[in-house]
Order: sequence, then C-alpha cells, then structure tokens
Amino acid sequence: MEDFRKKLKIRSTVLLIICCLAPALYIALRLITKGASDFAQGLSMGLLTSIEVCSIIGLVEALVLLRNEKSLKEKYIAVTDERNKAIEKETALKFLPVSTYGIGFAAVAAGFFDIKICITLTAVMLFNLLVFLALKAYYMKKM
Amino acid sequence: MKNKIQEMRKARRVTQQELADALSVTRQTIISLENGKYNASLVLAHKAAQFFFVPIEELFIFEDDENIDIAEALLNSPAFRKN
Repeated sequence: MEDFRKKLKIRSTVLLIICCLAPALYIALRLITKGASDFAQGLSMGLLTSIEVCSIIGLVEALVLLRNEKSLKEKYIAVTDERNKAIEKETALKFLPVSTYGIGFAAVAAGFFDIKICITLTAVMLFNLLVFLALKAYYMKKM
Repeated sequence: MKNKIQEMRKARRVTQQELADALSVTRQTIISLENGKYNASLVLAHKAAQFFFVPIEELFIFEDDENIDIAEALLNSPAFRKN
C-alpha cells in the first residue's frame, strides 16, 4: 500500500501544479486562440475548464485519501481488486469492435448526407484501429 | 472451475467482508467467486488457500472436462511418450 500512497502523493502534487497554473494557462490560451472563431475559442476554453475542474476534484480526493487511513485502504483495495481489473480489461476488449463497427456504420450513413462527416468518421475509425494495433504490438513485445 | 470458498468460509464462521479484507479484494469479488461467476487468479487462489490452511486443489476444483484436457495434453506430450 506504500506504493499506492506514493503514487497518490505524486498525483496530488501534479494536480496542484495544474490547478496553480490555471490562470496562466487561461491567459496563454486566450493569446494563442486570439483571432480564432468564437466556436474554436469556446471549445478550447471549455476543454481547459473541464481539465481544471477534474484536477480540482482529483486533488481533493487525493488529499482526503492521504489523510484518512481507512478510506485509503478501501480505495487501494478497490483499485487493485483483480475482479475490477478483469472487468476493465473485458470492457476495453469489447469496446473496440463495438465502437469500430458503430463508427463504420455511422460513416456509411453519413456518406449519404455529408461527405465531410463521412471522411471524419472514417478517419476516427482508422485512428482507433491504429491505436489498437500500436498498443497490441507494444504489449506483444512487453509480455 | 468450482470452489469451496463459501463452504469453508461458513465452516470457519468468517463473513464475506472479513475474507475480502484478509485477501485484499472487494466483497463483490468474494460474492462472485462463491457464485462461480469469476475464476480467481493464481495469486488470489494461493492467498485464499493460505487463509483456509488447505492446499489450492482442495479449495478449487477443476471441472471434469478441464481435467480431461490436461490428461490428453499430458498423454500427447513428447516428454510423456519418451517415458
């Protein structure tokens, strides 16, 4: 459990840095996206805001766990539980074919209405497959 | 693969939560093991056997067809043929 505690401490430090950098990041993003469309600016700001909110939630959770031994043990068991890990693996395994076929059918359907959407969906599908193949190659070497 | 976890746990008057805590897993994992919905890993099986002071093969029982597969593999293995 000491390793888990160390990981939590590192995570809380990283999250604290992200939270502290928030104002600078907002200003930097505002400068970078200056002149871009409202939509692009709103999208990037929304993304940054969601990252900040998640960081704050993660930081609070990590600090609470580090101060409460009972909660820390419960979380450690939940994270390292082998059934939970098996469920995650199984979910990830089933996700690829479902998402690939789903996006593929959506791309075909979109082809009847808008060629841009069709190409975008096809690109997403190919990207998913490439990531899968890259990860598979990595784990085949690692294991 | 069947197991005698529930039987042994009840015989020793241990609750599912106590067993889960001892094996560092969630109570849900114990429930799934007892219901035969989940097969334990070698590490967990070893821990459980240690907890109950019994050999692994006494706690976890191979199904008949699983044993036959192993027997066939052994019979067909070159090492077995040599002997």
